[in-house]
Amino acid sequence: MAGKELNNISPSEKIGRRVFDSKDEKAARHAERPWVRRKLFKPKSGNKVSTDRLDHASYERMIEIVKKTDLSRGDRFKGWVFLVVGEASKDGRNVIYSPTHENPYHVDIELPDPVTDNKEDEIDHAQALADIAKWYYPSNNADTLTLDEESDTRGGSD
Amino acid sequence: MQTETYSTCESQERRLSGGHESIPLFLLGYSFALHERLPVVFFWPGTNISRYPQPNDAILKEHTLGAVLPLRVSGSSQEPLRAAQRDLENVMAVAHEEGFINPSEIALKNARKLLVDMYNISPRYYQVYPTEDGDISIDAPGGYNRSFVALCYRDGRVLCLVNINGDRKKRLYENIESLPDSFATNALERLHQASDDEWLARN
Repeated sequence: MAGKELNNISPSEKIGRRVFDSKDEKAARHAERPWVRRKLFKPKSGNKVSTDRLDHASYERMIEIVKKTDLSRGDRFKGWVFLVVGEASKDGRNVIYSPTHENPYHVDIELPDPVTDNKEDEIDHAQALADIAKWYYPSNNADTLTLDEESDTRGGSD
Repeated sequence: MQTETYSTCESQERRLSGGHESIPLFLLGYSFALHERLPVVFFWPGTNISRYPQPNDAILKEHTLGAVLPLRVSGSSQEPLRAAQRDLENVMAVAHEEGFINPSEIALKNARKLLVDMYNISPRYYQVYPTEDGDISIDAPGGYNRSFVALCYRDGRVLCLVNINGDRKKRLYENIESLPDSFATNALERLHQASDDEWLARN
């Protein structure tokens, strides 16, 4: 799976934020009180949050990609928390398809520019994304959220 | 402290009508019961009888995709508060372990007060932890697309964030003096109510 179909990002598509901390994993997978910590969605630098598109390759293939692209942390990889593109791209955020040679499924969630100068806005966006994320179980592919709009979101690297 | 208890099912009510017309019927029923050696239970007119016992214990409710359970507590059970307070007293150690900036004394003092106040408004589990900037966060996850956060800044300010089904608001306070105000109180109550409405709709 590659090529043309990757250029269009559907609003119902799942994108995942990698999790390396066992505390984050434990919190997100809690049986009774799952909780995704907002620190997972704070940009490391700039105003972009890296994610992986999860609907286009097998789970095993995605893990291989993680291990290649996160060399220093690959062994500690726990899984993903995922969110839906349509929800991630609200409130002035953009979801931009930005493939790399090692990761053809890479996507950035781009926060509005002024956010980087404003701590409260950055926290607000991180919390908003955490609120719509949950742990990704690859067997639960039917667990997609329905959206009100079915318009295509054309993405591409800038 | 505000506490509320809920039964997990509708309570059945039986109400005896008061008045003279019920007496002959009562005597007839009583006579029959004695004749047939049936157990007899007496009710005063106007008594409400619940089919199911009134719950005294904490009731758990499941909500949404994330299965968040805002724990309603009753009586003297304050385990969620105690758990959060333990986490709060541990923030310095956690910050040190994570290599974060140490939270300040004012942040800790504010968090201690706010946690109790928030619990009094909404008795439930809270997530309490230090951030890399030396702030202390008190989070109330409320299910999918719902949360309330009180972030006690290192410099004494407090940021409150609320998200109810995508309706998001925030407010930054210069200090804790006015907290909890109507913004925070309403937010916590709405968070609970939103969870309850969804639970009621599903059940």
